[in-house]
Amino acid sequence: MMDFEKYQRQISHPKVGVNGQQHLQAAKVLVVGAGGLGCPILQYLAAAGVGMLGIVDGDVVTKSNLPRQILFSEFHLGKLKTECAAEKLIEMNPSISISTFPTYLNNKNAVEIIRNWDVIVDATDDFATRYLLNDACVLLEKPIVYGAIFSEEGQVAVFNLKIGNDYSSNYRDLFPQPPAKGEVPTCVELGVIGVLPGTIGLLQANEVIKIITKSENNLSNKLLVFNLSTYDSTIFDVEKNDALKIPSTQNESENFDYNLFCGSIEKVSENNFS
Amino acid sequence: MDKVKLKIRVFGKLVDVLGSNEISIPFCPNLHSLKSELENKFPSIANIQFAISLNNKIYNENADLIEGDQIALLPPFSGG
Repeated sequence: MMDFEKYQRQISHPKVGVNGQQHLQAAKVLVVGAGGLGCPILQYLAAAGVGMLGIVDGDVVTKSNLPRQILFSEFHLGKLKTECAAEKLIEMNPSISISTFPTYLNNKNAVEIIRNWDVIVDATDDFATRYLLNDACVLLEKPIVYGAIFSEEGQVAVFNLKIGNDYSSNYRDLFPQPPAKGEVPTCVELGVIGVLPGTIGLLQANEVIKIITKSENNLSNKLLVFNLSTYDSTIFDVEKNDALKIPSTQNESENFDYNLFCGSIEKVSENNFS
Repeated sequence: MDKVKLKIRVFGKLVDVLGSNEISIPFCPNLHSLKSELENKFPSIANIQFAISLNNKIYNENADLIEGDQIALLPPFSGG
């Protein structure tokens, strides 16, 4: 049963309507990462009435998370992010259901975790997981709503969306090779102001809603770059490159070492005297 | 053509490496020569991954340039 009173403003909007609200209620959206991006994404998708939300994160809440990970409070310190987020979201909207995966995505569990969801959201914070998630979604033919931040800038895109008989471009079409370990400073090193992941997360939530409600105007085959300091925003076209090699079976995917690919584990070196 | 300059918009970490969010370099006939020119001028970018856009389209292969073309250099972001 649809709660017309609750969703009246969305149902009144021509981009949603009764049909769109039904699609939202029937949708299954998996958010990978319940951090600075994941929290606002989950909060708005829950409020909008997305019927089933999945949350993947192996981390616990720490004090330094609180200024930007707005689902959490001091009361949650030391507890699993997935469980705290689920509790808060159900309190906000008891008519949706939530599945939690209190684990980090890896090449052994990715396919099983992703398999049953309609839309996957990349709210992760490291390159190895981004490439893994991208490849698993290409393998399983799932659309990904991608977001990433750096200092005062954010990137948003929709990858691998089925359009006709084809799939839109994916993360590897944009960045075929990952950067070396330590090449791109992280939020831990650079600092971050909570409103940046908040803003980029909401743009991702917007893209999820557009995909579910079948809006043609979305960021597939595009990359949006937004600067929160200058408010400059640019949309770049990203073309599919079918020549790129991506693991094409579950077995290949499970055996691809993303940590090695992204240099997050050191290669064995004979000159390592430390 | 030697007075023609190419304007390049710079994003992310490359702003620190190249010193500004917009730089000008002497005209280059294509994206490969542009990348070489940048590496001559800023040797450290040879070891940095980034996507190149020409007139707001990402190019992973070479493409010819003409006067007035808009270039952007986009490194990947990991934060979330």
